[in-house]
Amino acid sequence: MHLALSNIPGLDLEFGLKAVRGRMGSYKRLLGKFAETHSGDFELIRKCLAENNPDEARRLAHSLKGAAGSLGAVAVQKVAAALEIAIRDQYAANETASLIAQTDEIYSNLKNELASKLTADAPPPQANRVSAEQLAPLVSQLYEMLESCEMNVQPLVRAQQPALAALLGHQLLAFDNLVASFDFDTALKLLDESCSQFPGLAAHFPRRSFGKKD
Amino acid sequence: MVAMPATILIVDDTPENLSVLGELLQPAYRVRAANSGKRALQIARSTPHPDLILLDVMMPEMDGYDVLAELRADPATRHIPVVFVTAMDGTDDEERGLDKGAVDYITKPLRPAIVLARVRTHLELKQARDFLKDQNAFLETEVNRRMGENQLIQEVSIHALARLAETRDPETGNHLLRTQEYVRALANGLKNHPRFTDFLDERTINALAKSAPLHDIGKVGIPDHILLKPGKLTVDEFEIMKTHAKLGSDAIEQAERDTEKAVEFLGIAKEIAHYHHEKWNGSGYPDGPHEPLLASGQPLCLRIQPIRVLIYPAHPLLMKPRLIKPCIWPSATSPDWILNSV
Repeated sequence: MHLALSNIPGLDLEFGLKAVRGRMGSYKRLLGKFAETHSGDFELIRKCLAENNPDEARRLAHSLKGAAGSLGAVAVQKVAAALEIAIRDQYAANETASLIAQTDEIYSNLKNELASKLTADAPPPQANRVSAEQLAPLVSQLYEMLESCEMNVQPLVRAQQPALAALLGHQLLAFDNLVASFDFDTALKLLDESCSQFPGLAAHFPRRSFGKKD
Repeated sequence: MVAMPATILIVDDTPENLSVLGELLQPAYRVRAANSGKRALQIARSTPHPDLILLDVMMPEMDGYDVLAELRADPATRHIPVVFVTAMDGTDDEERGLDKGAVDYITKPLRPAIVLARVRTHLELKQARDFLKDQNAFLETEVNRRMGENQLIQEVSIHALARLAETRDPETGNHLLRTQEYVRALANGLKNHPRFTDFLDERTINALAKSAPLHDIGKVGIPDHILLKPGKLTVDEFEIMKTHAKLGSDAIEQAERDTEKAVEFLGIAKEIAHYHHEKWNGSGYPDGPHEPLLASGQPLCLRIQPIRVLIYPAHPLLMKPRLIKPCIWPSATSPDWILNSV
């Protein structure tokens, strides 16, 4: 696996691995996320510029640059940095447009390379038959950690996939993605929703409104 | 220094950055992660407060500067050190951040060794600051405790001395305490009088009351056959009896000389011992007979202690014949009369 990733152009594997203290598992997971989450950025940047919102366009380029830099995706980092400057310094529209296209292309290339090198996602976990009583301690812990934004909620969610599959059903993937991308507030809402629908579970959390009140 | 791992709040709108930074810190620290400035403020305000905040500068809606300003404005979060994490290339942003109260900045892309070293440094600084704060609070209590102990030693010593003097000439029970409270009551009553108001502050009144029991300490030096004689003293015997005032003040003066610096209450005790048989009409001892003392400018105690003498006849417990000092003033028991006389 190490060898496979080392041959990807535009990816500084050594730097990227160092950033996660050499843990290949973490690195692959983060790269996979990175390859998924920025595909829509380029359309958004074009849209922002067309709507005369260069600040938001610049921020998107800036974020992409930062994310790429964090993971050692040096080619994307470099071109995104150029794009950020072009937007900041108000280059001619065609120059900026060309940089957007370049960034899109380099990002897409990396994404395709990664798609062939990263192992496919594990099959969706088999939902166990669990009772509300069995789920309650886990759900309680999830609430506590999500509310206080504990980063340790991420390994917990990864470790509890079967139980969570029983609770969240088809929403599991969405929930996993929200937690992985640190959107803990939206993850809480999703958890509320699933709790209120799971027979007997809401009664364990009398203090939560589950979106029914207000 | 701390048993629990330190809590670090990381703030960034880009999940990849939070992941990388968080995974770097998590083995050693408890990491809380906020994906917006607003969420960061919520977490920073909840207890236990984070020990350190790593704050991204460029974020939508509320940027790093806004977050820092709000943290600084809230007393609950003002003391949490903030390190800016900046991907910007110019140094302007770093300077601006430091200007606004950030303790440091680190630049993206992050280099793990540098991040960990900076984090460690700022956590240690914070622990040292917290320790000093605790230490100062501890020292203050300790100083108060020791001062209190000192006061107590002082008071006990005075009482021990006075009791020693008393064993030779037992008066009624609680005589010492009563004398103390008479003097205090009189001094409190006089403290707003124009002639006394400059002298009688809280501190002096305390020193006066504390020293009052030492007035008869010189009686230790009077032979038993005179001190304890049941009948009236002869003229010669009375001359010897009268020396107790000076004996007392001399003893205290000697003690004063033995100390390295002036001790306020000893100075007052000396005056009380010396002057407590002087009378306002100039007929007392050891310095009398002399001119009446009513003019101002006499030592303060000369004015207070004779007033004490006036109280004796008025107190029912003191109606034992030999203890009643001759009352030299008519109608001497009216406080108004006393106030008019000084």
